[in-house]
Amino acid sequence: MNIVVCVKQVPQEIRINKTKGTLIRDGIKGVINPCDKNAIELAVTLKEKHGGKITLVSMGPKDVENTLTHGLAMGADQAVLICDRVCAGADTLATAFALATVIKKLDDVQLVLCGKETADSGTQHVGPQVAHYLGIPQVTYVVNLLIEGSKIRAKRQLKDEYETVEAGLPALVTVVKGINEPRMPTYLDIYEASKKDTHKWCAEDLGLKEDEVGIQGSPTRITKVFAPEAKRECKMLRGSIEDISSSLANDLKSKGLV
Amino acid sequence: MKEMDRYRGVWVFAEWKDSQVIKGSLELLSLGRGLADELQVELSVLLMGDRLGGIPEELIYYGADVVYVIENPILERYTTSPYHRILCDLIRENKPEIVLFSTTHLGMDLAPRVACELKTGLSAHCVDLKMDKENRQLLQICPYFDYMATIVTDTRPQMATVQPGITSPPRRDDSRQGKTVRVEFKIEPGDIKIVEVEAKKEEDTEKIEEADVIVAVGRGLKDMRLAEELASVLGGVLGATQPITEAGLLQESRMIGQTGKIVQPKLYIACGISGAGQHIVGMQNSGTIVAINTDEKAPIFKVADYGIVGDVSKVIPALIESLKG
Repeated sequence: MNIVVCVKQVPQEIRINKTKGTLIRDGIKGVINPCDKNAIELAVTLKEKHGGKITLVSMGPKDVENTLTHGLAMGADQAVLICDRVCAGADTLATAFALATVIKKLDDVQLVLCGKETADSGTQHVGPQVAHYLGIPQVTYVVNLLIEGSKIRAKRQLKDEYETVEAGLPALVTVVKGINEPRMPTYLDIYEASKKDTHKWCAEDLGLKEDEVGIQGSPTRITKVFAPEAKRECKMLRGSIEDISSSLANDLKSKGLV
Repeated sequence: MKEMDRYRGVWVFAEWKDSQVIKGSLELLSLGRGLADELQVELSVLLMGDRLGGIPEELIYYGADVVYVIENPILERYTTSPYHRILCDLIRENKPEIVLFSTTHLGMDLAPRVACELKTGLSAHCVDLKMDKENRQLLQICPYFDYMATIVTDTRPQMATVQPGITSPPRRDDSRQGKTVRVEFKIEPGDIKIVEVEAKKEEDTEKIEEADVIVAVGRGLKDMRLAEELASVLGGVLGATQPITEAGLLQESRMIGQTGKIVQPKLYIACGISGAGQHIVGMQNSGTIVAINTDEKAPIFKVADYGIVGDVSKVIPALIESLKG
């Protein structure tokens, strides 16, 4: 049973070019999206039990290779990176289309795993959209997953309840952080990972047309980025800690909040 | 006539629980009503489920002009594919220009898949919606890291998921008139079977959104006991930022912000919270906000009424003393 894990590189720190409203990526280290580590951990434990091959699929600039190495060191077998300038600026729909195109080209994929959301944009869209492009069921917010023959049994973490569902394979599952504790690769794991394959594919290799990917393939666009307005006049309390505390306590008492 | 101009009308996808429309959906009716009036079109509500009783009339009382009702035992509990199928078919047939969802587990499972089939744009976690009336373009305002971004969609319908708690439900008016349209669908059970539903334990479902006082903890506070003590002196509850719940220091049900809860207590004390946009979205409408942080430039001070620049682990004990005194 072959498993695909969708992986995103996210910036370790957020800085924004205030005039252009774009993310500053230069000089900012990229790391693997935290929730994606849970998805990889799940893939590795499923492989230990059921066998098969784990492929990481990602899209982004060349340096995403370093991020994928982390996943390979955790136990994935190979990685595919969609790396092409025409893919830049993709929204969730264009991203999902490119990822699904890769997954369709891989052999006998029975399970696609994604983190519930990414730490940067956090839309939660890409999982269900990849599932739609692949024409397979999606099971979101999963906190426990079992494979039983040609079916999965998944426990979903919802607002006030847990819902256990069954779906036939192939299927796509998005996982929440509580599902497991991702392993930390050792130096040896990282060394071994450097010998594994990361295939870099461009849009043309995948038969992707320019108007299907990147900015052109994205129905949404950001027209403006702005700092949230200061909504309140903040009274800065200064002086010794004792003075500050007693004046704040008095104010809160006089407002009837205490 | 451009293809885009064939799309008219504002739609809201309504969710219900225990025979009641959920609060997030009522809030969508407020927003949707405003947009529909501005565009001079009808506000329609989509309602799916089984044994829906008086819910369609309620939706009219809360501002709907038209309620599309699809009632079927298969729809009693949400699963992706039948809901997805019906919604896509209805949108294709009726061509609304705007479709709004609440940011719930259901909304976030359904909306992306519908947008994908319709090849249209979807924004996430909107905290405000405005209208560019001339172009009939919905300005979707979402948190973007520590900033806000305006997102637009060049295709139709324009779809958005909206954060609960950003507006109030409309006033209920049981003299309002509207139209209920019952739509018959041949519905297949879908590819997902629900085998068990279990309620979460109480500790996992802490309803911090109902508390009058919240002491919220961020990365700047190392000792949770200090925050607990302050909360207990104030008769409040603990809240947290995402890094705190992710580190397992407090339960996820206490997370405040874009992916957590939207709260509006009378008093909110932010302890060691710098104020990432995703967190601010969840607390900015609180009554009185007190922020304690070592960094004078931290964005949390922009939304606070009282600011204290200092080490939160020293400020809290002093504050507890003053409150007791």
